[in-house]
Amino acid sequence: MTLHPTPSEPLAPVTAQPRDDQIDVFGMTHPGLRRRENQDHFLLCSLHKTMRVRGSSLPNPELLEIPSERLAFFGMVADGVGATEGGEAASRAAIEAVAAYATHAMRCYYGGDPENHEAFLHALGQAARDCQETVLARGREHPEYRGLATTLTMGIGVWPWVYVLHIGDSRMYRLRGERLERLTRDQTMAQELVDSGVLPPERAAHSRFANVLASSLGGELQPDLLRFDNEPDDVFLLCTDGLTHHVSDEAIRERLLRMTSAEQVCRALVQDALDGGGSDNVTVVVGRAVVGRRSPP
Amino acid sequence: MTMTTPSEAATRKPRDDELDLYGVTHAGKVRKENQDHFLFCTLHKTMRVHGTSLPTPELLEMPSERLASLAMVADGVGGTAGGEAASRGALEIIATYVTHTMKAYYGTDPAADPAELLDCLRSAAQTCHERISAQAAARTDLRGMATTLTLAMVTWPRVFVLHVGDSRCYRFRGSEGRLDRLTRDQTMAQDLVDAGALPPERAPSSPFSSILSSAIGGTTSVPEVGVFDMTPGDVILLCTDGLTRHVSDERIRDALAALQSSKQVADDLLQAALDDGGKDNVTVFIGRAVVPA
Repeated sequence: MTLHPTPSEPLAPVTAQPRDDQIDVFGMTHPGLRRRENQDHFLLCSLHKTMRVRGSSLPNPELLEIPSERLAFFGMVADGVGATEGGEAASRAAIEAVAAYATHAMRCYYGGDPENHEAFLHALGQAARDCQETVLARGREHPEYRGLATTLTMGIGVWPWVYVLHIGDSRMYRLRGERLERLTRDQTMAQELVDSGVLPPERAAHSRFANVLASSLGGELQPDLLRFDNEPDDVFLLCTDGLTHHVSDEAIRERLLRMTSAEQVCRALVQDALDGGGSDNVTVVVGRAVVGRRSPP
Repeated sequence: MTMTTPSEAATRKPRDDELDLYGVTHAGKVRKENQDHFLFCTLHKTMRVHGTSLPTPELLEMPSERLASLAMVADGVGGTAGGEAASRGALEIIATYVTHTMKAYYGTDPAADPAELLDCLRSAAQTCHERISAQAAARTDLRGMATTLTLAMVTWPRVFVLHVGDSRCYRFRGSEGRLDRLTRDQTMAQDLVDAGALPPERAPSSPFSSILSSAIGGTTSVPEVGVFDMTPGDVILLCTDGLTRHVSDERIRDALAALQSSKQVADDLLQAALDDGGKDNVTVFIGRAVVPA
């Protein structure tokens, strides 16, 4: 990363929310090399406040219209569970329902009022439970969807915070400076065994419990609700386990350190997963703000 | 589109396409210049999709949710250039201030505490007063300029009112055929009435009736704020005193009771003021939601 501030383009103060044109986000999904169906889904969206003038005697009322004030940025990935048709439908239903609930939950939150953090996280937890109900209801109505479940990891950027709703074994990472931090904990039986001291951490990935979810939407729902701060140079990554089966945290860190754009690094990481065997569907979402820095040409 | 039952339609927030908003201003028959201004706008929350694997992302593009509808009138006072500059400046300052600071959840949560929005409106008026006063002090051609300001912001099912001066905000309760004046004229005459020194019926003809006791940019500025409920069928009317010095509350009520569209009533009321002499600039704004049959 290089800094090239010029007199004509002063650096934005670190406390300012990045502008829309400074946001660099990308997401992609790939079925992998072994599976025919892609049961992963992702969604990247933002919520804006806009003002429309309907009528006026003023000479140039359109100058008063706010182009678009961004209230929040949403990134989410979901990995449908099960080899049946239901997986894709479950992850799709979950992500649609969660998007609707999450934007609704925004009503109780705006700006950086710390008093509202708890209320917002609580609303997100409620959104997950409502969403669980939607997924279960679909299973009741359509027997072929019975037993469907999905992971869901969602990051909501409300400058200068990032709120996370996490269910299952998809992951969210943050690159800060040279350090890659895993922000979420895999909700798998293997991880539970590691946490209780029964299984050594290095054996978790190869354990037969590595793929057994301890929590999911549609199954045993135990959402993790988290909050992190967001610095201007942070890079956030969301992915399904199709990436992390094949690509180590160290390899992800290397890619993010050398990224030129969100799209470039997503494509590179998906290719890394395919090169490593592509045993599962792979989904990667990357988001960052490009504030006062230039990408290498 | 889904069908709504009558009970739902009777209580829910009106849709964007059900809004019927109209404003008109006229110099009148005596004055050469129009120093009145009006502005009405809507605030929305919109969702934008930047990328997705979902087959039909347009389903997610939730119809932009309207947070609030906002309407304002202002009646400038002062020299040739000053009055118009004051009313124009006030609307621009207030529109910018309110739309930027208004929090996103108003209009989506009926249980939200109105105190915060009332504070926001009060500080908007204060900021506006300071800036207009500063402009007046800085330029000789604008010296002494001031303006009235009356604002109504509907975040269903409430209407918030901000008021300085002698323009007015009315709410017509359609279900009862009742007209409520939501603002108090900030004139010397009204102050005398309130103090018991002048009988109410003599206020309109008093020499103090057109002397403002409070104005944006004036020596005194005392913004008043209030919050009132809205029910389906209600109509909001904002006007400058160019209307009310010629047209009585009774006639306004009758016109609203026979309303066909906001434009029709606003144009009829303007015409009534002109027919009666049109001594001052006349501005009328009317806002309502078309109630589904």
